[in-house]
Amino acid sequence: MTDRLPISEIWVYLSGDPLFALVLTLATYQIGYTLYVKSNRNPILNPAAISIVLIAVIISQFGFGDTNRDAYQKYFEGAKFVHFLLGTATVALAVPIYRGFAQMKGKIFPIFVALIAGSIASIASAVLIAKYMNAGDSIVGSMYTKSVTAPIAMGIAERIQVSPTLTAVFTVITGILGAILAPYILDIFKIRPWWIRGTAIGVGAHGLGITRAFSVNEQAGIFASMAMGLNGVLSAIVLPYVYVLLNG
Amino acid sequence: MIDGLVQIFLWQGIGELVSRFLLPSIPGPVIGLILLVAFLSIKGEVNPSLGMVADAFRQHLALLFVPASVGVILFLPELKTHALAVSVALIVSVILAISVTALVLKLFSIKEPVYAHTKAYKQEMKELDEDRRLEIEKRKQERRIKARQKKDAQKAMGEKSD
Repeated sequence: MTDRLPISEIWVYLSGDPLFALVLTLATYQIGYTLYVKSNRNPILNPAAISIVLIAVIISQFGFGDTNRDAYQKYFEGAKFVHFLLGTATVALAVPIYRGFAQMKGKIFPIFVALIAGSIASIASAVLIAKYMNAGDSIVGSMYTKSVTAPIAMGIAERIQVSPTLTAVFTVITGILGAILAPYILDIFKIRPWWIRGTAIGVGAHGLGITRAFSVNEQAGIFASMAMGLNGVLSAIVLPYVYVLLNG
Repeated sequence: MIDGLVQIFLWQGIGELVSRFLLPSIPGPVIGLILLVAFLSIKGEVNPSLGMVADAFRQHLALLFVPASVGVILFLPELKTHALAVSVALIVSVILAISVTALVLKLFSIKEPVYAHTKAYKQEMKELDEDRRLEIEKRKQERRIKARQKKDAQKAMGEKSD
């Protein structure tokens, strides 16, 4: 063993391979998920948020590229295989929507009205506050799409040409906030029926809220998944027109 | 499990085609989702393999948008300057989304007549009415039986005293 590879060269070789980005993504998510489960599903320890922070620190600090842009491009080159599955996951949301429909008898009309009212309130407040506080075009633009579950939101973001990245980040934060705040908000308004609690969580807290809802009550979980998917579909159909109308 | 995955990819493909050629404003996967819901409604059931794949995706949905979210490192300076605006906007919007949705539904469940014109509601009310009618009938029947038993008992007493 005369020509032993110096450790730095091994690192260069590994960091150029798509496998490294994939392992990094899955391993950090696994760490986040383990912490989340160990902490009795505390929403602050969101697996996705932990994974994002760890990856961001690793690729920006450990010679992935000269600038953050280089580093991110290199990382995404490998991680795009995970990213690709977003579309597939969106289609898979059809199953919870269908299961929810089966339980919705006689509630379809109020659920549609509530979903529309809820997402208008959510989008309008986010966009208006961001605009009023001069948050800059790319941030305000992503406030339009962040109220929808991430896979659909990013599809819409690409269509209306706002940043899918900021959309995804805002969606993750929304999910964390929603999962933390939802029980308190719903208790303040004395809302007892599980299906109402579930639907509201699905609109406000996305995927993370749904996992929590399922762990409390099966019916709440089904309605939450249904509400999240349906909200996404309605937004995907309506949002592009609203955005063009308001932004010319 | 594989046939569930194949089924989902198939609908995704159909959705992408429809999106490209017919409905460019809606993302392909969303069209695929709508078509799959329609297909399941016609079929009337979810086969176990499809259900398993869908549950797995739903459970770890968050993993799939990690790669895109890591792009946040490109926006850090911008987010830092507008940190307050972003946090206020996100917090207020989450609170409003949850409370408006819940309150609208609560309103409806108190004042049902607002959606009383829907077919499903009428059907539900009809079934309820039917149940109530049957119950009243049953109670009447019971009362009649009791009355007759009382009468019989009195009659028997009367006969005895004669």
